[in-house]
Amino acid sequence: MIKVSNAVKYYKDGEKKIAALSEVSLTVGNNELVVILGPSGSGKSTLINVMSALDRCDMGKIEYDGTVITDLPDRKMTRFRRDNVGFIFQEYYLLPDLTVENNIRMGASLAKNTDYGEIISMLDLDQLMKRMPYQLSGGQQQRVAIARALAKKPQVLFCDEPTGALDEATGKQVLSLLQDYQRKNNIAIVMVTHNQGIAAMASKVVRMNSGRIISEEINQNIADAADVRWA
Amino acid sequence: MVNRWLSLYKNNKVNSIGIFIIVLLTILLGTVFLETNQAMERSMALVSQGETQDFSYLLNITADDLAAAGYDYPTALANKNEVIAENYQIVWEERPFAMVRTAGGKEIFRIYQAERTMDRLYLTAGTLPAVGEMVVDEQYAKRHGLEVGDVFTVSGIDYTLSGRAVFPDQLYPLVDNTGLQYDPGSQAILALCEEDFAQWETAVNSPMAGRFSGGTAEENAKMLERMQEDENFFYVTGAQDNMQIGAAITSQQNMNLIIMGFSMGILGGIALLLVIITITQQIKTEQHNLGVLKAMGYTNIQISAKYLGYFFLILAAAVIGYLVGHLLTGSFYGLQVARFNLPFIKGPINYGNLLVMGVIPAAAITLLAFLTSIMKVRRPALHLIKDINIKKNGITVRRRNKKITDRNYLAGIRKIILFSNLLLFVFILFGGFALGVQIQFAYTTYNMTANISQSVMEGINYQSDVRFIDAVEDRSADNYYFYDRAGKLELADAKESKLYNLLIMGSGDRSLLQLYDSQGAIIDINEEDGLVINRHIALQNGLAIGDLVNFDSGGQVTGVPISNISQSVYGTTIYMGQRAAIERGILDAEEYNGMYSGEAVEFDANEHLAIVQADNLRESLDQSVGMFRVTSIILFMCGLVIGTTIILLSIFGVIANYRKYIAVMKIYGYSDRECSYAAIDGFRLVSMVGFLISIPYTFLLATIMFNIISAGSDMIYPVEFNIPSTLVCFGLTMIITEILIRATKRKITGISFREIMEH
Ligand SMILES: Nc1ncnc2c1ncn2[C@@H]1O[C@H](COP(=O)(O)OP(=O)(O)OP(=O)(O)O)[C@@H](O)[C@H]1O
Ligand SMILES: [Mg+2]
Repeated sequence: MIKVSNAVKYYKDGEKKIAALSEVSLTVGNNELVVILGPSGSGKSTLINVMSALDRCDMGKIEYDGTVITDLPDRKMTRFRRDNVGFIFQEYYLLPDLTVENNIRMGASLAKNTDYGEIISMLDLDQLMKRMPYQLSGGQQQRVAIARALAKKPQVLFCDEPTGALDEATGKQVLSLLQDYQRKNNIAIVMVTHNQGIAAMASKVVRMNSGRIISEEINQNIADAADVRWA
Repeated sequence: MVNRWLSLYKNNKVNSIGIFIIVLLTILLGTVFLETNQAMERSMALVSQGETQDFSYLLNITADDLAAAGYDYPTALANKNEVIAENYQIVWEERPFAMVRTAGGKEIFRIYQAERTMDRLYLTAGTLPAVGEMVVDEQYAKRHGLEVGDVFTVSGIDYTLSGRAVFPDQLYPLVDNTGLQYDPGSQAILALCEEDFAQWETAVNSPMAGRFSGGTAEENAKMLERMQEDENFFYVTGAQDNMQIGAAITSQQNMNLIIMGFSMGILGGIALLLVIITITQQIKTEQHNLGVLKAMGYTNIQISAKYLGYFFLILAAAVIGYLVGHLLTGSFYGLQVARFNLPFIKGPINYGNLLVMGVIPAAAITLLAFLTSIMKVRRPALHLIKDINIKKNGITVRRRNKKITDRNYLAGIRKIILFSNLLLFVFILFGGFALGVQIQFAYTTYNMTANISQSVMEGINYQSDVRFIDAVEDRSADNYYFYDRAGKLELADAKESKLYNLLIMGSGDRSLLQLYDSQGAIIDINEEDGLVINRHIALQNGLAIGDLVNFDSGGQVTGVPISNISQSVYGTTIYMGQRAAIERGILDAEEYNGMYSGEAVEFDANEHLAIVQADNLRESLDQSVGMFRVTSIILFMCGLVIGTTIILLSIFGVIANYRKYIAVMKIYGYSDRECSYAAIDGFRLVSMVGFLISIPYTFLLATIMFNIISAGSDMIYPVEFNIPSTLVCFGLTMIITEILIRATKRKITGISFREIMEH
């Protein structure tokens, strides 16, 4: 379980201090899918960055199953990310000089995972393994990025607008894949999005504004990704 | 506009500083060498206003000539000169001189008459001497702080200095006749008025100076050739081939040109590559904004125009480099002409040089950079904005991708990164190469100077003195005796060589002078059937062991084979054993006129024609190679600075180029160490490969270069492949690369996830 307690994060804008996060508290269960919604600039990315040990908060505490990660030195934070978390971004950031297969290996080799064939079939990438990123469509690239993240066998998967650059059909396909994997493997997913519809597939929906969580609701009726309304 | 350019440099601080340093150093080096050559030209032109001779010569006065003149040598000489002057349309002047050695043999003076019709003295201060006055050569005066009005004593006679002068026929002075090199610390050329000069006993057989009275340069060159074939001359040497006048300076100038071309070619290439890489990188980081500009309707040229700003950076570096070089030229010139007798004529700032060395290259580099930029932004605006990677990966990258397995993942992508950016790859290769060339070239030069001294001094054990006297009567076994005979070698193609001293070696302690062959084995001179020459003489005349030559000593011509070549690279002395010399009729009987001695010999009067001490020889050798030594140290320093700069910039370049790679890897949990292993460590090897390529390149180039210099010089410069020094250079390159790679790891630590999260 991830537990965020009173996280505060400032950014300096010249003389001014902007509070990107003010006293944010949140828990994410071990096989939950949490969706974070909110207007642009509300602190969504900042929150998942500190949650995923990419960034540090200025005050407050983040624990993973009781282990505090907030005070870890850089080296240990890196180690922590390596062992526990996966990332998916709006832009896919595949390494342009590597084939699909070798991009996926980037995640797999970190976990010493040589058994990622299932992930590849699940994401329907078998035919694309030898291609280079420039030979893929956006949806295909995002699928590769997901495979790369999953091949690393993360406990928690952080997704910052994973469907932001995709059309409805492709977007839903990507979401389905994530949902299936999450259900099968019991991992936690924290997903940031602008798309209100996606909230329907979450077990918990968090809304943010001005660096604060303004509402947090548990979703009793978790919808299938294929059935969400696309906004 | 200016602000835009300033921000251009600011956004690329490291590369801009690198470009600045490299361009500055390149132009500085180039300027120093170029302007030193130009200063030499200027000095020579000034000095030659005194109507420098076209050639010098000695006549063959035969028995018939003597008989015709009633056995009066001066008359015979004058008569023959008249005939020659008529035949070849020349004017001539005898150039008698007196040699004076102060007690102890420490100081040597050569005294000339000050009034001349050609080779007139170029006065750097004062006037020509009147009775009781004297002019002293500029270098000696400078070294000893002599000024006009000072009193100077020669053999107990006091003279007042009326002036300081450069002697146009002694620009590379030869004070002593035995081959001892000029040293302004202890040797001077002096000039007296006619009346005072007559008081001194002059050496026999003074040379003649001559000038053509008309004719074009070509006609005169032909005439000179005819004279050289004429039996009536003992020798004729054109001013250009004369070490004392043209040859030594020309060879120095050639050397400067070669070093200049050598360094500037490499450095210029580096500067160009660097600018192109900088711009490529910059476009990569800015391509989003460039795309927006393009979408708004700006043309490729308008977008690329800002990169023209590099012109001013390069220009500023070039101008500063030029000015500093211009200022340093005086000191460098002083260094180079330490063994010459040339004044330094300070030149004004030469805008022509600045244009050729600074402005034009700066413009050319900028233009190429501009074109590069146009090529890079010639893509659809959307591609630029969205950072769409339309890069088609090369075959190497695809092939390397196939070789990656689950087990060698990092090593595999390391190779891919290595080969995915050709420009960077070449740049780093070049970095190792340039560092290698510069330091190895410097090292090779340095070694060579040590080799020369060593190979000349190796067989010389006469700590004390060598003296030439008319006859050696009472001989002791502690000394080594010889007969000295001057003569020329006539080669197979009827060409004639310079004048050499043939030492016919006889009895005594042979350890005082040992000759070694090319394998380093001792040559037993008395077992040799013919002449032993040194490597320099062999090279200059194209001689090999077994060749037959005629030895022409004052008209007496003897056929003799070259039986061995000693390893010495310097000097105009050739050797023969006494037995062989007598058998071949070069020497009539066992006789001696000189010796090597291990003891200190008391110097008495003027009876010694010449005295050479081993120490003197060592000193003068040191002096003649000292300039190379200093040059090599300068080149070494420049090499280190430049090489380090390039390697540093290449590592920065790699990191800049792969920032996003590294950011993604770091987000995923790869450690800094793994990232630097994948992204930069591979380039260590590339820089080593660059170094390896530089080994044969440097060796070849140095060989060619020093052969060119040797041809016009009084020694050969033997370039040898030296494994220890190559290893030292290799180690140095490795250490520098290693230090830089380690130092730049911090840069990787500085790359954060924000790299890819912010737009
Ligand atoms: N590196 C930074 N320096 C300064 N301010 C920053 C930085 N990163 C974010 N901010 C500010 O912090 C606040 C929160 O930013 P954040 O990126 O978390 O928003 P977001 O909710 O993810 O927005 P979006 O939906 O547009 O991605 C914003 O006001 C933003 O301007
Ligand atoms: Mg965001």
